Amino acid sequence: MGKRLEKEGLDKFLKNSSKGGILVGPVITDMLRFQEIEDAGEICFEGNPTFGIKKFFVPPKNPILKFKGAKLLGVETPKKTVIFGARLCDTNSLLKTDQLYLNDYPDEDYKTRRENTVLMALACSESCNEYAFCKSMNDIGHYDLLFVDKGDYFYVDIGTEKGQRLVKNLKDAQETLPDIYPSTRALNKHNIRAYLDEKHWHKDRQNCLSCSRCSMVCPNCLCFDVTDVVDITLKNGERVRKWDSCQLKNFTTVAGGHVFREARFNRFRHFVFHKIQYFAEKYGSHMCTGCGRCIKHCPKTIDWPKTINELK
Amino acid sequence: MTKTLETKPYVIESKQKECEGIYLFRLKTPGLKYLPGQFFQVWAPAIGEAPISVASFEDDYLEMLIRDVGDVTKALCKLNKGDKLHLRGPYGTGYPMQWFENNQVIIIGGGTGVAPVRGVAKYVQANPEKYKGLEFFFGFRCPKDILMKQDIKEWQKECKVNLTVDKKEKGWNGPVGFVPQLLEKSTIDNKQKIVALCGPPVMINKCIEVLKTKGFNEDQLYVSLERHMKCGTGKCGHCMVQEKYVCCDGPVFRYDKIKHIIDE
Ligand code: SF4
Ligand code: SF4
Ligand code: FES
Repeated sequence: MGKRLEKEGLDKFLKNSSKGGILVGPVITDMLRFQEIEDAGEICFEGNPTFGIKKFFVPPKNPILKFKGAKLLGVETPKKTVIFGARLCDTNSLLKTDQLYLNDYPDEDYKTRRENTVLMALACSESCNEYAFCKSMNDIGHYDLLFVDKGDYFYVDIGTEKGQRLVKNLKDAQETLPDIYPSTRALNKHNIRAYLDEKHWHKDRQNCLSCSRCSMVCPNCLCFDVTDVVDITLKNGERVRKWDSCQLKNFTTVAGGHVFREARFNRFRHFVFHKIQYFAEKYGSHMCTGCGRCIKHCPKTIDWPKTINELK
Repeated sequence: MTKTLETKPYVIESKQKECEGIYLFRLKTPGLKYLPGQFFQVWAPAIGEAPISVASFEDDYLEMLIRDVGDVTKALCKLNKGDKLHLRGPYGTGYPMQWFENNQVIIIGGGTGVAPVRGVAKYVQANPEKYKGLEFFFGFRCPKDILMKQDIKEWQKECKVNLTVDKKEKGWNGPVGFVPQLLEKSTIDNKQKIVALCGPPVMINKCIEVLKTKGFNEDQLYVSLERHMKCGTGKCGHCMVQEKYVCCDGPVFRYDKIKHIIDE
C-alpha cells in the first residue's frame, strides 16, 4: 500500500531524508536543471530538465582515478544524495546503465553513486513534450519512492526497501496506485532489424548534422572517452571519463587514422539501432526510455521514432 | 578504486626494432595468463591508454608489437629494456585454440595485423601434437616493412610461409601483390583446416571471398577485428560494431557470426 504526504510536509520530509547528505531537485536557473537545493520551495514541479539525472551517476567529466607518476590512487566517493523530482524516463534509464556499469567488470565509482543515492521520482500527469513516447517503452518503473501529485497531497508509492525505510512515519494512503505514466504517443515497433537498409531512413539521413546534441541530452546515452588529464607537474593528474557520442566522426577512429563509421548515415543508424535494437537483443529492454529529448533538442527536429512508426 | 581499472607494471626484457616506428616488446610477466587474440590496455602515464594485442604465447612472458602512431604509442615506443610497461587486462575472447585442435592452422596476416595471429602460431608451436601444422600467408607494403623476420625464418624451416609485398624493391625476388592474390594462386583446400585472419578490413574481405571459392566454410574462418577500445570492459561504446562489443564479444569472431555486419 502507498503512503500519503501532505504538500506542506514535503520540505520537512526531504530535509529528514537527506540528513548527512545532499538534496537535489529540478530548479529554474538559466534553464530548468537538476542541482543541489536547500529547501523544497526551490523545486519546480513543471516540465523535465534538458539534462536528466545521468550527470549524478556518470558525470560529463568524471575523474575515475588519480595518478602520481605511475602510481594509481583512488578518488573520493560521492556523498549520500537524495534526488527528488526525476521523471520515470530518467529513473528507468538507470536500469540500463546498471547493465553496463555493473557487468562482468563492475565499476566501483558508479556502484557507490547508485548505493548512495535515493531516487524520489515524480510522476508526470501529462506528457512533458510532444515527442515523448515513454508510456510505450514497457519499463516497469524504477524508483525508491514515486510521488504522484494529488492536489493537496502526494500519493507516495514505495519501490524499494530503501524507500520503505524513509516513509515509515507517513500515513497510509486510502487509494491504490494510479497509472504512473501520462498518455503519450507510442513507438509502434520494438524490433527494427529488418530495416537496417539506408533506404528506410532517407529523410532523417539527409537532415542529421552529426552535432551529437541528441546523445548529450539522452538519459540513456552512455558512451564516453577516456583521457589522462595532467596537472602543472606534467606527471601527476587524473584519468577522466568524458561524455562522447557515436554521432561524432572521430568516435571510431583507430590508430593510423582509419574511421570505421565514416558516413554520417552509418553513425545516425548506429545511434538509433543501439537504442531500439542492439541493446534489447543483449539485455532485453531498450536503451531508450522515450523521453523525447533527443528530438526536442535536435536542431533539425529529427523525429526518428516517427520514422520507425512509418516503416513498412 | 575499481579493480578492473588497476594496471600492473611489467619489466621490458627486450625491445626489438621490427621496422621504422614498429617495435616488438618482450615483457617478463610472471604468472600472467593470456590467450592469443586477447588484448591489454597499455598505459603511458600522464598520456593515456592504448589497446595492444597479444603477439605471443609463452608462460611468464608476453610480447607485443607497438607502432608509434598516436600519442600513447609514441610514448611507449620511447621506452627501453629495463623500463616498465603498465598493463591492465587481458581483455576479450582470444582465439578458441581448443576448437582448432586436429586441424592445420592457416595464418593470414597483413601489416601489423600479423601480431595477433603470431600468437596463434606460437600456441600451435607450443602444442605441436594437437595440431596438423601451420601454413602462413603474410603481406606487407614493401620488403623493408616486413615484420617478424626472425620468426618467418624459423617458420620456414618447418612449414610453408607465403610472403608477398605490395611494392617491389631492389633485392626482392618473392611475389609482388596482395595477400588475396597469393591465396588464389595457392593450392590449399578446406580439409581439416582452420583459418586465423587479421589485417586491414579490405584484405580480410577479399581473402574470405577467395577462401570461399576454394571451398572453405564460413565457420572455418576466424577474424580478429580492430577497433579503438577505450575501456575494454563493455561500457564506453567505442568498439561497437552493430550489436557486438569488440572488446568483450571479440576481438576474435567466427566469420559466420559477424558477416551480417554492414556497419562500416
Ligand atoms: S533516445 Fe531520445 S527519447 Fe529515447 S531516452 Fe534518449 S533522449 Fe529520450
Ligand atoms: S541532435 Fe539531431 S542533428 Fe544532431 S546528431 Fe542528433 S539526430 Fe543528428
Ligand atoms: S572498449 Fe569500451 S565498450 Fe568496448
